[in-house]
Amino acid sequence: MRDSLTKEKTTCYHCGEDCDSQPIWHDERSFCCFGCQTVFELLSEKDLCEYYSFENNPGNQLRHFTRDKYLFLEEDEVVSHLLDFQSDTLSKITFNIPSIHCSSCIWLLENIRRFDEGIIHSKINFSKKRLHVDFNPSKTTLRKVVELLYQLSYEPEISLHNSGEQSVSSNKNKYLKIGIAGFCFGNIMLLAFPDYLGIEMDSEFISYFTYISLLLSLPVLFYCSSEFYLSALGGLKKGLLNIDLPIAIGITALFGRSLYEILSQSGGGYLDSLAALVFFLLIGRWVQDRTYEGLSFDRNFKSYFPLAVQKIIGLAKKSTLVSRLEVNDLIEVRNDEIIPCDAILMSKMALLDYSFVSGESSPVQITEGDKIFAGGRVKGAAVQMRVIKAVSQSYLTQLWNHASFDEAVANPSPSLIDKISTYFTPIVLLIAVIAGLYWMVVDSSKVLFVISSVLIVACPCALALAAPFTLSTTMNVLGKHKMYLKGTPVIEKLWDIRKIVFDKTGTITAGSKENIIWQGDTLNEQEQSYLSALANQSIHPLSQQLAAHLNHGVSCQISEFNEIRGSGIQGKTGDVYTMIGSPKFTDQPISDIDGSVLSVKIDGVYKGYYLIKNNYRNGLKSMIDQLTNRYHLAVLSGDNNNEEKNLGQYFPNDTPMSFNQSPEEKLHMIQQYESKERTMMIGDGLNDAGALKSCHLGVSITENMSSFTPASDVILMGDQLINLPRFLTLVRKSKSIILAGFVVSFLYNIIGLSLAVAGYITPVIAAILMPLSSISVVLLSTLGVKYLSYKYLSFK
Amino acid sequence: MKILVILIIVSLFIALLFLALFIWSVKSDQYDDTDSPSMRILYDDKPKSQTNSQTENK
Repeated sequence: MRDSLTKEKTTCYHCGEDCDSQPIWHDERSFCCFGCQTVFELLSEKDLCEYYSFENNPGNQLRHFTRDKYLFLEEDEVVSHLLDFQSDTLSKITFNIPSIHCSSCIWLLENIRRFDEGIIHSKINFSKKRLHVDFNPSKTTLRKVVELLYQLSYEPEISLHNSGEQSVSSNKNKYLKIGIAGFCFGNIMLLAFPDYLGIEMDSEFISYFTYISLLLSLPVLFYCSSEFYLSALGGLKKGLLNIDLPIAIGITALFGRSLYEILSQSGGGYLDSLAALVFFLLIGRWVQDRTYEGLSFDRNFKSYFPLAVQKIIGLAKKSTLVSRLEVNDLIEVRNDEIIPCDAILMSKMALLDYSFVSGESSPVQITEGDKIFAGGRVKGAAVQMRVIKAVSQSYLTQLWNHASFDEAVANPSPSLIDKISTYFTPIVLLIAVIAGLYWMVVDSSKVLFVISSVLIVACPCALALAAPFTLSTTMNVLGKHKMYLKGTPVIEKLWDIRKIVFDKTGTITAGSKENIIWQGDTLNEQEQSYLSALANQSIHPLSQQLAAHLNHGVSCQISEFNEIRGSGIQGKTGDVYTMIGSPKFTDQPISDIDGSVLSVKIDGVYKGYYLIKNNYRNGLKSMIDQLTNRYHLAVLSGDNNNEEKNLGQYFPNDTPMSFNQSPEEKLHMIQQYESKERTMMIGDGLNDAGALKSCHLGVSITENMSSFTPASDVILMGDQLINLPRFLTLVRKSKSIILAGFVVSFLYNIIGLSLAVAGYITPVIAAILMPLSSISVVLLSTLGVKYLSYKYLSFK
Repeated sequence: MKILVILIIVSLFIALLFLALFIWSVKSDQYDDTDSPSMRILYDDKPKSQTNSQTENK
């Protein structure tokens, strides 16, 4: 074992990964695998090594390439489905490439035409991680383009249902509305300036100015503020008094009053306030609706499944779309491919990895005639199977069609602001009516003036801005710490969480890398075989792990084997006496170790110990301790219960732990929890997908931003999981900031309302009060959250 | 004071021009991707003939 000699860290020139023990040296550069080296060679051949000059180690690790993987891209039907535009000499296509991550990526992918004559043009949209490619179908094929991308280790995500494109036009509309509202706001204010300063001008001028303002306010009223009217109407139809209703009433009152004043030439109107109001509100909406466009939060099972498989017809093989598969079709699935539907094995034997579905990490062996469930991954040689259920009817797919998935969509919980506005609107209307009645008695000429003033001043502009700005700043702050929320409503959901359920594998344990480390004198080949033989005798999980690690099999006879429960095992090979066990067993105390220790004594001499790391994330214990103060915890694992004891050290005693849970059982379990209290599920695999969807809030853990995550509300980087308590604290505190914003805006409203009821509201006061209240609330929200993030998240 | 009317009209038209430019920029997808243009500006267009000498001064 000469690992220890080359331990000085060599990282891969291409992808920056640790090269482990054996780096591949090529051209004076180190590579972690042949894949990376191939990409480098490909690039240097085409003289594209500039790729490496923009960022250090920009590449992605290449997974191994099967030749027929993209065979289905030769099918005309598939091709025409995927292409955005098609003619004899030009085809356009858009790929989703999750692994786009740096400026080198942009440079390389926009230069791919140097690899292939047929590619005319390629352009990246970095924020959406999309690549647009124009190519000439007579010179190259879609398959070649995709294979090229794959070889450069930018694997595109290919799926037949395109989503997300429709959001583009609505985004454009948002920008246009904000731009136009801003334009009108600025110009109307400019025209209203003489009024603010109290400059007396010829009445002729004033009327000119007011008419221009009126003209400028029309697009604001009819185009920019349309969404407030539509949303208010939509709410009314459902019997809800949402926040847009008082806004719409306010806008109408502002415009009506201004129109009257301008036409009757009795004043300048409030058009500047109107434009400012709409402008600020639109910015608030835009801020609230921002999302991480490059991340996909809504993947369903189809993203996991292959698009096409090899169907065997007679002696020929034909690439067929998965959705076209019928019962009794014979299909072939190769190494590392995922089985798309339930089937029966026709080959003699197969090794299947169901970790995707069940979370159980070790592969299962099945024999001819056994039933295979969709979602398993074939290991080893290609296998043939007969389809017994269509894709849409398979076990895993059924899970997705579970009723709970639709429920979650149908009943979004009302947001905080909507809850407040159900009280706000009636109160404002009541005040308007009372004030109107009062003035009816005192001075009936002022009734309309007062009522409209009340409605104008009560328009909850600041109220409507407090939440969006606080929530979106919180979302940005969390995003900087690699916790990505699907949208701002997720924060409101996070407030309600009472219970947190953890998946085990991949969530509270880190990815399974080499986790057995030898510490001590170097063991020779023979000594290792002794240990291997001895460890193989015991069925203790630790012995089993050690035996698997040594991988020597039983190459020598063990005599006088003896297992002492809770201590260790011993045995004799020839006349050498070998002992493996706890430090106490070998009389060699070892302290402060994170994991299990197997101490080794050979022929009476202490040699050292194997450290078996339990793989739990560093800092797990303190995270759990912090969480227990506020939340109920639970563990829900698809794995066996070997680790129950170890987990007990981390979690409080009364934590419910369930093991051997199938995806469906997980889903039911979560529903049970959910019926008692608001539950947050943290999981990673496809086997958690049902649970993640059916709980109040699903968090999926990923080690790599470009890898698949099941549909969830939050995507959290694995190494940030231990900071979860801090994140949750920040989120909880953000609620008080919103409430503070509400208080401030209510104060403004009360001041304004009392002025309005008393009949003192003039255009100038309105023009000052409205922007002032909005701006102060926005500042309070953003600065407040920034302060919180400084207070709670500034670690390291 | 009459000059004010002309000035106002001129300023309004200049503002309208900018608004039109803004609308054009939105319509021509310039707000679609605000990240990559900032990086794209870093890349030099390499003249074809120079390619060999470039790789050597690595």
